[in-house]
Amino acid sequence: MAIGKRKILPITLSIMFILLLWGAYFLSSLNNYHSSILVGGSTTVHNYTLALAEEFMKDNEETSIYCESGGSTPGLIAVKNGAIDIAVMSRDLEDDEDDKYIKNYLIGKDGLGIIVHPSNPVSNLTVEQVSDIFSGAVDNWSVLGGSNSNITVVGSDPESITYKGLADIVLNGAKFKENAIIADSAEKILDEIVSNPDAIGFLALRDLDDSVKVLDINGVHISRETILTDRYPISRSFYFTVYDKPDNLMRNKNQSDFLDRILGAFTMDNDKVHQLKIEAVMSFIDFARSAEGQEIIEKHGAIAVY
Amino acid sequence: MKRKIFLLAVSIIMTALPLLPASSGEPAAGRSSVHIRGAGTVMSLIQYSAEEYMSENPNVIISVSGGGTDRGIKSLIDGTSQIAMASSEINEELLLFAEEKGVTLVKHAVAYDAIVPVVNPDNPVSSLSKEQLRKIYTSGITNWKEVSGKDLPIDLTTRNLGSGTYEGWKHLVIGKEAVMSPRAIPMESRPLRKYISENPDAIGYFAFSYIDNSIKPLAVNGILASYESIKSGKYPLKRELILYTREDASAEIINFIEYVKEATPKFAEAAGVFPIN
Repeated sequence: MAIGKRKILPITLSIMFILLLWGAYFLSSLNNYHSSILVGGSTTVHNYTLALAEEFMKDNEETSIYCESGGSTPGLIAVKNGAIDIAVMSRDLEDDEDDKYIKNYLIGKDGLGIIVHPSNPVSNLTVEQVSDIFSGAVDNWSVLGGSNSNITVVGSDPESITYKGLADIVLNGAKFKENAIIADSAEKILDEIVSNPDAIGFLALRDLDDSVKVLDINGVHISRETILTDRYPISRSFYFTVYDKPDNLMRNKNQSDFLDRILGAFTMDNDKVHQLKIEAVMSFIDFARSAEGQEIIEKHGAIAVY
Repeated sequence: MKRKIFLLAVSIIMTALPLLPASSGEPAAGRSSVHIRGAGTVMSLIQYSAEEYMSENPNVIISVSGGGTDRGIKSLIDGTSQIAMASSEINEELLLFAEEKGVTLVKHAVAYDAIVPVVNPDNPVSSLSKEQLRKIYTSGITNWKEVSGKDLPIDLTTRNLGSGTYEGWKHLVIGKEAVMSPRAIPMESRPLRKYISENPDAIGYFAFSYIDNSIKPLAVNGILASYESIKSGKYPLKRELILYTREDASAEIINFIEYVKEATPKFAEAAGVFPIN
């Protein structure tokens, strides 16, 4: 390509300008790097993730956390490919998903109490029976050892973490019963149950009280302890999952070999960049596991695990 | 040239993107937590023990999850948990991983249990020798008629690769010289139990605690697995149930393990395991 002499000056100037900009940015960034952390995964615990990210960014202005929710499985695939930094998972790994590079940090657990009117003779249900009730497959208490009366299903706001939790842990793909009563707060749910002998609903552990009867599930009573040990069946763990593979794509995803060679003299080496990236990600994970982070997820209805 | 400027500009932006801050956070202070992962066969015992321990020590959080022996050990090595539940010793691959990470693991045997071969309740065979089991699992015997059963090909199943029961079966039945038949379908305990209950020509094995009426346990060398025969040592396929920690485990962790050892006799029957001694 032939270049006229008139064009050389502006081109040279623009190169110098860009180099200067880059140099200035580089120098300033030595002390204050701006970082972006990409987080993706479970939709059903997304509210916890958002709350943690928001609070973390308040005290770490140099860090931006972008949270997407598209499900635990796509999140896991993305983190393995280095497309995102943290996968949020609301389930345990399958055997064929696990390998030695996956690090699964437990962030919290949550569980749902299944509640009925105190006069209801039923005191224990299996997970399958709970699923049948909330999907509408079973609609009379007599089938479950209760009186011959129709079951009134009380649900929570479809956007709430309890509703999504029930879908996640219990319904297993089945649809929530269509003509259920939807009450949009814990108080309203308790009111509905207390005022109707045939009602059944669900609440996070912290919202349960003596005005209603809390059912055992598969013979286990809900408590902070039985959720922490996984013995209570309507409970789940959620994890921040990172992929700790030294040559993972994350390390080089923004640089081709060609550019590496050209810029090698100016940039920090890749190991350093990679190290800083990992430190930023770890500082967010450490925040989620800190007293402050655990308080945030407790405020949203989960059980602290640290 | 324009292209080069463009490339340079892009590279500058791209290079700047991953420059990230270095900072560190501290896990929650004021209370302590112990995370436990691993083998399903050890899990019941640990669940009962942990629940009681937490009610006596309200400032300690103990979380328990499954995932099998290998995941438990891996999590202990990579630092995402502090105790691994294991129903076998650490395999070679994970020993190498521990070495790579500079981690030394310590074994704490807390109980023992037995591995039991099982068949469908309609299968007329009710006892096999260890040698017959070895031949079945290494394709030396492929039809039930060879062990006085019906003229049906044997449908082999096995516990999945990451499980300690699989390691135990390899160690106790197959031995070092032989390799398990690739025909064996790997499954977790519960699906395996269901599969055996639905397939008249199937054989499998799992921990003593998973035995129920839907399947038929086989006697091994003429001894049927029972509380008495396992306890007395007559039943031949028994193995240790283990908690692993790091060498530098905190006092809290060791305290809990001591608690489990003391609590094992109390919870053993409910958990389907046997206290040591």
